[in-house]
Amino acid sequence: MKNLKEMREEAQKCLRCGLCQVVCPLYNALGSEPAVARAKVRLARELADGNLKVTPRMKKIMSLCLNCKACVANCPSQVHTDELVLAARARIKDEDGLPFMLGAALKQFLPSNNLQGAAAKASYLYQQLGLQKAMRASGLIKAVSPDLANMEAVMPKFAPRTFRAELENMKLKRGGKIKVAYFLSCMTNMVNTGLGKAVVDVLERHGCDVYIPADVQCCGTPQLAYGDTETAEALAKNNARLLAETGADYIVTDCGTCGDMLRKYEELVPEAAGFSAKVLDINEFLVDKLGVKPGDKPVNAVVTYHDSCHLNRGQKVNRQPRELLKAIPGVTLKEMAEADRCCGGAGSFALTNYELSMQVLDRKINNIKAVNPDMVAAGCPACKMQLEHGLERHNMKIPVVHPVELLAKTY
Amino acid sequence: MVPTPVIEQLRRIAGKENVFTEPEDLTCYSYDSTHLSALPEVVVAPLTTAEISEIVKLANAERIPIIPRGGGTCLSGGTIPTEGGIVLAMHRMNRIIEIDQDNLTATVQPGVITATLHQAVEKEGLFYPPDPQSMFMSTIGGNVAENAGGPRGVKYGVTKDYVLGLEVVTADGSVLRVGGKTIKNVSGYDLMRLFTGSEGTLGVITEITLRLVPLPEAKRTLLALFDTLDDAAEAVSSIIKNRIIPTTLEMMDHKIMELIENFKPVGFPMDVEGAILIEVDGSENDVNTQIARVADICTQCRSREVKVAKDAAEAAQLWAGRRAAFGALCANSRTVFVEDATVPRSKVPDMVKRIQEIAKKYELSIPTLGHTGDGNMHPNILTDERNTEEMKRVEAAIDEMFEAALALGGTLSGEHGIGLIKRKYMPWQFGEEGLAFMRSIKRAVDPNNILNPGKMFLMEKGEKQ
Repeated sequence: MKNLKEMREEAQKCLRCGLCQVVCPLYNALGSEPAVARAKVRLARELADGNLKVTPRMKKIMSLCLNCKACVANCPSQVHTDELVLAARARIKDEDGLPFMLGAALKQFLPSNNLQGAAAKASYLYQQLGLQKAMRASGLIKAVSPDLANMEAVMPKFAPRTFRAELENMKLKRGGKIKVAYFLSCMTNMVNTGLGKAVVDVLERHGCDVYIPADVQCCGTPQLAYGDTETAEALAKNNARLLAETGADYIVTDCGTCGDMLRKYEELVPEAAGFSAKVLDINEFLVDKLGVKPGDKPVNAVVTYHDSCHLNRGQKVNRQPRELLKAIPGVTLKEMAEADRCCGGAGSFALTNYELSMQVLDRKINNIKAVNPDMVAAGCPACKMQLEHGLERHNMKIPVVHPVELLAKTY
Repeated sequence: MVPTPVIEQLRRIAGKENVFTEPEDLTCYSYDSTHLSALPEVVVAPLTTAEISEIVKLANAERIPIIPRGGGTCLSGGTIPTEGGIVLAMHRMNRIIEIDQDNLTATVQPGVITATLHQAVEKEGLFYPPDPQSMFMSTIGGNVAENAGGPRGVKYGVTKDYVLGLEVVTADGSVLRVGGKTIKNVSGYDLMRLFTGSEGTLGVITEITLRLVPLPEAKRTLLALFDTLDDAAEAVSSIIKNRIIPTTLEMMDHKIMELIENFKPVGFPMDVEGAILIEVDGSENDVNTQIARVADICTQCRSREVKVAKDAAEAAQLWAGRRAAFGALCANSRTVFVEDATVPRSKVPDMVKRIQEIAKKYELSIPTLGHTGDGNMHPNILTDERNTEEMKRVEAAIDEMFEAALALGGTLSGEHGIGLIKRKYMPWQFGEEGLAFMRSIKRAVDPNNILNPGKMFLMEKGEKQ
């Protein structure tokens, strides 16, 4: 990946027209210049030139970016502010290191499938044994730390057994026409195991042999987002190798963010040469490569679709999930306003900047409310987690599903 | 340097979370949409007129410059703090105070984004016509201070034609209210007009009452293509001569159409030399008659093809090219200078010719488009600020363009303002007498020269630019 010095020319491309102000969710919420892309581009340039240094304020401003890429899409000069911010964060990390807990999370917890399994189990128990209810009711967490309370509130519902654990007893079909490697995401593994099963089911019904390398690790997005390029590169190398070793024709993901990252592996590590062209989002794969063959059972529902930033602007996949939804018998797709606007989740942003994240989310929820759907579809589990939290805050009992989960219901 | 006790006082006035002194924040308020920049010493984001009054009073006592700033999208360097001091970031004062449906007015705080106001009043069937192309980023306060225009200027005029009342904090911290909600108002000097377009040099605008008009019932769009740019320019003059005032009347030259077509193909034929894009609005009947007459005139002016949009979707298609223009320019050039010299409408063909000659003489690429219906041209000089040799030619070309505009009875700026960029040309347009008059106004109301100093003109004759 290019470092900040190598990105300097990119920063110089900015003509300061300010069009990024129109689409930046954080600038829309805060209104102050440091929030917007144009400012971050300038700061990145000054940092590269040595006119500004890594300071707490620099860190704070660079942390105020959802990496939603809306500014990039709206930029007449096509300045890649997303990459500039990541390069600036990498510089910050190189000079200042990572806070202990964050470093542990990025380097030890997320890449470790064993630790993830244990944590998922603990979280599941915490939620199932009524501890969560008790903790929330007691106000204990809030008293200890409001931040922690917010984190706890956004916490998704963990699965009783991880997908990885279930995989041991899973019988994957063989004898199909197309070999597909399915990249197991952290969220599918720990939270949305049902999605993983739906993906396998749907692919098999479309004549695919599905290969799931159980040893793949976290895709590397959180590490890159916090400037930990080395860990991200190590993960990219390992994942690319494991997925390539399956000998599959295609590599398929069900997570907008993981898919976006997998497509970047080539740029990140030379070992992944030729890898990215094989990566497809599941919606894209079904619609463009296979042709969607739904079952007969209708799903009678009005569905609105939320574009995940990394799926839409990152992977340029926005038509396919909509076509997939329209192909499902009984589904009426109803577009919400600003469907492609970030939900404010952005990985851990909702945890670290809870109030701001909720401001961004409220706008999304109001847009959903206006179309009054029976369910919301999204192609990214991180968005799903954030949207579920928002709907709950607004007392709306509407499920958030992946398009493929709906498709699986038709069989 | 702004002394520490002053910073402390600013914190007391506006709250410490709204006062910024870190170099990172100062950098974010050092630029606008021009290529210029300079660091302020402190940034304050006030919430009320009372706070601004106290801040200005303090600044006046301490002789510290005050630079009000809205969206920071100025095209003439108006918000660059060249003399340091305090930047007033107005984003927290962003309330639409009232939309008065009986008097057809809107009263807003200066930090309201122009497009936000458009949406709010259009919901009520009302219309605020000024539409600077930065309207999705710029603020009403900035628009009033710069007297911003926009494509709809040809029919609807510019910001000053809609300002009915202002609240202004003057250099000594007094709060002045001028105008109000009345359509007619001849009491006293017309201070509203004085403050409008004063570029922050006479006072800080803290509240604005705007005149609204009924939202037109219908609009229609037409695109006409020409084999020569002269024919296109003649069509523009001819439409006006025939007493038709369209909502917008935009002209594009061959160069810009070529750039657009390569950037985002919209179907411009590559062998046309000029195009005009026209929108008319009014009642359903009215727009149909008008568009038919405009089509006739274009044909008479030897238009090769006239496309009239049948519906909104087709209209959007015709506009797609024009909308992509800025992106196309940026994609093709490292640095873009957008000029806005403006001439009387009858002189548009002459000005177009002069721009082409200047481009040739200085070997520069100057694709031109503009709100030609009101004589406001936008020659875009494509260059690279790192190329010092070319930059010298650019500067000479700009000098010559302004000279040409003035010789044709035009003006230095139609809508971008003078700021820093065009300051040096002010003597050309006003002579020493004109400048002396403006300086005496400035001295009278801002004796310590704290309000956006150095903008528009220099305070001393012969002072080095």
